Amino acid sequence: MMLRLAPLLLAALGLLAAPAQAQWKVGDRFPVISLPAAEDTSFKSVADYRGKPLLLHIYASW
Amino acid sequence: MPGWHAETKDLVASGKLRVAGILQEQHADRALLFHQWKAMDFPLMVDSFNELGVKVVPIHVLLDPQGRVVAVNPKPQALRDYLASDAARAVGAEPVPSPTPTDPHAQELTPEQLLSAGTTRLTYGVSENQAIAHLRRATEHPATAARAWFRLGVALRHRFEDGGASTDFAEAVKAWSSALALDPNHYIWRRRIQQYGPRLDKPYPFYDWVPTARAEIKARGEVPRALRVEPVGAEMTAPLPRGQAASTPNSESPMPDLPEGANKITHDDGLIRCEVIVVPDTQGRTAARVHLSFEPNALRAAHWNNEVEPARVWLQLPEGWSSPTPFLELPHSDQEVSSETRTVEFELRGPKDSTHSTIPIVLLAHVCEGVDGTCVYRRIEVSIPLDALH
Repeated sequence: MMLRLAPLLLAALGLLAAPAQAQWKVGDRFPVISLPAAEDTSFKSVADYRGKPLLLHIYASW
Repeated sequence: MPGWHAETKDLVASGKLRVAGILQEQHADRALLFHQWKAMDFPLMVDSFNELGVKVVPIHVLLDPQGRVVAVNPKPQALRDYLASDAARAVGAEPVPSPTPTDPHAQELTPEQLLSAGTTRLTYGVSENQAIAHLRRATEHPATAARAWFRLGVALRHRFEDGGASTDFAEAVKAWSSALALDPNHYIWRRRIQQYGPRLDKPYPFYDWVPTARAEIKARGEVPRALRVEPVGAEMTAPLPRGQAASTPNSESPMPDLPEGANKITHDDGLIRCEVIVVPDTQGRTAARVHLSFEPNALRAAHWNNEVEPARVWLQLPEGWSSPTPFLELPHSDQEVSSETRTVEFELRGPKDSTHSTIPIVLLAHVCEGVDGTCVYRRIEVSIPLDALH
């Protein structure tokens, strides 16, 4: 129930205003794609960080 | 990114939040150097192939403990408000079905499987050449063509840097251009070309921060992380100033004449192999950055003679074309002789309606053949193809 209500709560918190270029909507499950880790030879996905809120930065160093 | 890192450090330390990054660039180790410089310690995943499909960066996505999107590009205060809410409480994570690996050796692969098998070579042990072959096949299907062209470019550039065929870089640029033609609004794909392209087309310098980062890391008593491929040339140059970008100068630098008697200098008969890569402006303007590499022919034990003047390149620019560097010197070695590949880059701009299909250049260099062979001053003529600019 809490999960179903989460979008309403978030709307109240003002978190729903995504910019035009965003391709994910609130409530979407973020894609689970196995990607190489930069630091070693392992592979990771966002599923490895579940259990707590995750802030994901998608970016480039340039 | 450093701002976000400072903003969330205490939240991560207190166990309320996890932070991770997904890189959208060709070279992950450059981002690691950036992280070292800015003392950022969150884990990074590498998405050089743009599997995530994002078209712009940066994007910041807040996910709930189950991996669902809570907000895209939240403000810092909104993040803190969310973390203070019941919705942010840690719960048992729902099981996630693992993606089914594509068997890269299967006889018949669908276009999506070809794309997947070509992209996930590291995961499933497909060789680089096999991966490239899969991606080439995926370019033939409309549903996967755009993504396959981009990923093919990424793979070809990787193979080029791994010591692959000298034509790989040129093919990578063509592949990226094909991808961008199919989706001109894809700025991640556009940036991959601009990284190597002309100053006119650069939104910003890509890696000019590297020397500063290294100096500041060393000043802290640390050893800067090594880079597998050093950023050079186009990757370090600044965008053209707005005033210069708007005009098309007829001559940015006086055209130097070839030395007297240059026509009589011995024509090279294959001792030096030249590779030309023309990286066009992505917005259709008649501008390019040209990457030249000159490699002594190992089969004939060819090598540079460094006891004389450096090897030099003259551009033979047609009417209306210009370059800030119509005369260039190749890098020179301190050793008496050497056989390294020498590279040089230059910028070209031309009139919109130009009908020229090539621009000739001349290299004059002292080159020797055989271990104890004679060294002769040689003339090497190369044509720069302009088809990518029309």
